[in-house]
Amino acid sequence: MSTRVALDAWLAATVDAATEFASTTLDSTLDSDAAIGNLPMDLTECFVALVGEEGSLQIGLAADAAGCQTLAKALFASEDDLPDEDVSDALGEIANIIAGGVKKRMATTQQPLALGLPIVMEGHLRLTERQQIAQTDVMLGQVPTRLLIVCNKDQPASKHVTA
Amino acid sequence: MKKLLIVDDSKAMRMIVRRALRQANLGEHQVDEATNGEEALQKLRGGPFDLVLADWNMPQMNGIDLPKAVRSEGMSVNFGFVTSEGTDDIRDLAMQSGAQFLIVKPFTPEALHDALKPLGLA
Repeated sequence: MSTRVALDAWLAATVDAATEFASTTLDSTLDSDAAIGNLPMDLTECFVALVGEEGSLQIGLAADAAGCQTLAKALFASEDDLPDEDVSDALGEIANIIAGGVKKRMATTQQPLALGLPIVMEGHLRLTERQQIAQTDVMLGQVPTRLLIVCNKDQPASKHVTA
Repeated sequence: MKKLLIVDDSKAMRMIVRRALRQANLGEHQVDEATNGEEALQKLRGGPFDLVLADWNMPQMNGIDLPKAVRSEGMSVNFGFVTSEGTDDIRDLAMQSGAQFLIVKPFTPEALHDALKPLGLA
């Protein structure tokens, strides 16, 4: 089976974990079938690494600035706009929770994985030839959000589905 | 009044735990916060707490070292982890460290209530 299918399994686990996060923490929903227009190229992205002995992959989410502000305000239960540091903190926590959910869901098929620290960045993600990405756009509450998996093409983490 | 200490380096997560505590029908309680294990240890030295709710991965002193440090100083306090680390291995480590429970993020107020009930805190 192709690496593409394997990555899609990780992405499915990510969508599942994000759905659980939306319902339990935001008291909201995740709609993976919503009609979402093109997200802008430059987004604010947050990644958390899942690191194993044989490699690592990045679990990420991305949204535009207004969307990040909305997610952060929902997490902080705040009606006022939040400073950048609080938005970054909130995005990091969301990514951390989702990555933890992915780790739990993929635990039976993987070597032990450790969670890395959240990294928040702005701009357009650029991959090298050795890297691959799987992504899907969803509505996280009212926020158009991109969920992403990034890993090297040749690492075992991208090949665990071998049926 | 029950006195609780939330230990997490994320302000957002401390806010989430505070909100869940409010929604978990715990009755009257007072909540204090620390951003890492060292700061938590200092607050615990300053007076008795009924419960520590700590993250697992934190700078300076991480969650797993905190209950050991508390015990080594002869202090006694109920201890629970609120963490994204939900595997069986992590759960075993948490219990071995002296924690009474581990709640995996994301969690509901009901899960928090259910964890605190056996400790007489809900």
